[in-house]
Amino acid sequence: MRKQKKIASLAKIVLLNQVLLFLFSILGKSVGEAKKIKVVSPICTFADIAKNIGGDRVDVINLSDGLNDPHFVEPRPSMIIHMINAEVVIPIGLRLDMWFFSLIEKSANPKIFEGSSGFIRTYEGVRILEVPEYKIGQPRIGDIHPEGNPHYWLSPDNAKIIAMNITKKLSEIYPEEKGYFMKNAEIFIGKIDEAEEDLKKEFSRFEGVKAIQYHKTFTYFADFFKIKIVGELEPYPGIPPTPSHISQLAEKMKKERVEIIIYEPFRNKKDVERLSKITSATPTELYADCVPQINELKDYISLIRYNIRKIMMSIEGKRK
Amino acid sequence: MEIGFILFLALISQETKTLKGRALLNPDISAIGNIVNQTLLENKIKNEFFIKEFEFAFQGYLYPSIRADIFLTAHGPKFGANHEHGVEGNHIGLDLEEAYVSLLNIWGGFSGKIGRKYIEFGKFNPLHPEQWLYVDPPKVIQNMFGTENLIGDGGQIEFLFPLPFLLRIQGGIFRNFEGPFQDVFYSSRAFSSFGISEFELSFGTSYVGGKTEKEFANFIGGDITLDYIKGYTKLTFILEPILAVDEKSKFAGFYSSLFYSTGRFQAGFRIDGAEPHKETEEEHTENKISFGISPIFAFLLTETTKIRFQYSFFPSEKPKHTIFFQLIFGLGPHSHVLQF
Repeated sequence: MRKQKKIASLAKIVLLNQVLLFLFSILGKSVGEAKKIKVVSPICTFADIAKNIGGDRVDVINLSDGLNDPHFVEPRPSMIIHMINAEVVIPIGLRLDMWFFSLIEKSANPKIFEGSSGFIRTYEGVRILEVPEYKIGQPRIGDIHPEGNPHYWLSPDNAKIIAMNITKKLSEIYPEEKGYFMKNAEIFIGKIDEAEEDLKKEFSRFEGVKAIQYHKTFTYFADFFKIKIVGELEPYPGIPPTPSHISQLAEKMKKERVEIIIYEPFRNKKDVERLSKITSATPTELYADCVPQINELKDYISLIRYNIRKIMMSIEGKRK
Repeated sequence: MEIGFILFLALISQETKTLKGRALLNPDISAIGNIVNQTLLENKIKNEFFIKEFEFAFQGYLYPSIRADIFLTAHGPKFGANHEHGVEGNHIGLDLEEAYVSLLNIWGGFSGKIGRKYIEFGKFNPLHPEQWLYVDPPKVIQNMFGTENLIGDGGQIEFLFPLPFLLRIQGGIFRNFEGPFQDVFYSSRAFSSFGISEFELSFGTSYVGGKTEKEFANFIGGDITLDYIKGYTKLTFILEPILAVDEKSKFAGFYSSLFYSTGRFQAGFRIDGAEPHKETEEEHTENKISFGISPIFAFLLTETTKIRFQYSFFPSEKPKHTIFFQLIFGLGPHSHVLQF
């Protein structure tokens, strides 16, 4: 009986503890207020663009990079702290970063909810590719991206649109800094234009090269640099390749004379190697996002340079 | 370069379209299938194949800060229930699993939920069956709540503390229609989490209390979760002890699990330790606490399809050995709010 009383009082202590924590928070609410605009990004590319636009007026937090598949980032509870303090969020959208949206929802921060002032719709104005269309007589396979291919940032033209969407939104929220953001946007877009010009010139002799991609990640990138994507290792987005799909794809690759197979570091390399053995197409590992800790991939422009040069090396190696 | 920039200036001057009508009005509709084969090994082998659950979800926003989630389930027999082959045993019942409106921000860090929902007690109880790391629920949950999860109709309010680390408290009042409580019961939970490099350490304390058939009963739970996440490798340790006490009796239990996952594979085990529910106490006179171990292996076939094998060994239970095979598949955009 005594023991039971002790346990009942333990229940009261747990409740009291929770009430005290609440009061403690109300009293100490002004903890950690900062002057810089807090921006949270799901990927390194958006974080890099936001840093270029916001300069020293922003404090950008990036939750993943090119070493991770942006579809499957593990949303950790501690990431919510960044969301609670965020003034601006820059999600990818198009159902790619659902994990980022779950963090936004849990933040109880009305500034960053979809449709609010701090929520930037980065793909506004972007021409979305591969929006699924179904025709009578064709099987309907549930597409995981019904609004279209969400890897739009890999086209430098789209990166400029993203930059302007960020500029526009930051200028709306902080009109006193509009001139500063606009100037930074002009500089950043100028840098992309320069890189674009260089790379297009370097790559011009390889235009029209045929490639297979693992997932539909590099569709926008290929569209921009005039690389012809002949097919995907995944029979449908997110569905791993089957032996019959690989053999069908190999046939097609031989007919079409596909030279390279492009994939990200987190894909199943065995599938790529198997296909490469059958077809002698060169496996070419590319990144879909920048990686701050790798110097060659430290920002968006480095990422695009790295990818296009990697492709050129693969093709040159194959043609020798 | 300047011409390009002028074109973008034109873009900047356009009005931003925010939530479009379609996005606002059409909910996300999806379905999840959960099919189980259970082989019970005792004196003779008994095999049971059943539809565990088909879950249909309707989810969407009513307003930028208000969302609604409705989960309808066509469910088969519950784990631990005696279900024989036949019409009654394989009966599929339609149920409203959860249906609630989330007020994502009420004021200054407060948010809330109103409707029918899984009670946010501990780590396991708020999860839907397709989110479990195991095929069946831990014994302690079944013994404590008499069901697979504690569900209630009511509302809860949550508060996120403006601190450098995550601290959230929540309190709710619900009515029960199934499980230990007869009418109104109260719930509360405090949760904290710290991210240090690749590690995430989380603590929680939970409480539910209300009137059962005879007296007022309290359930107190604690939970510790340690995650190590590096690239595609994840190691997860969970420990969740629960204590139930009413005016005349008490009983306790726990479960703990360790899982390693990389790419499409996941392997781990769960350890169960649970005193029987007091109503079934007479059946367990020799060994009060029933321990068990369950090695589990899962393979992700696609982003939305997985298969799972589980072997459960409970030396003091009948049957001692159970082998599970599970297939889970999903259609459409299905999402669950991040659970604490």
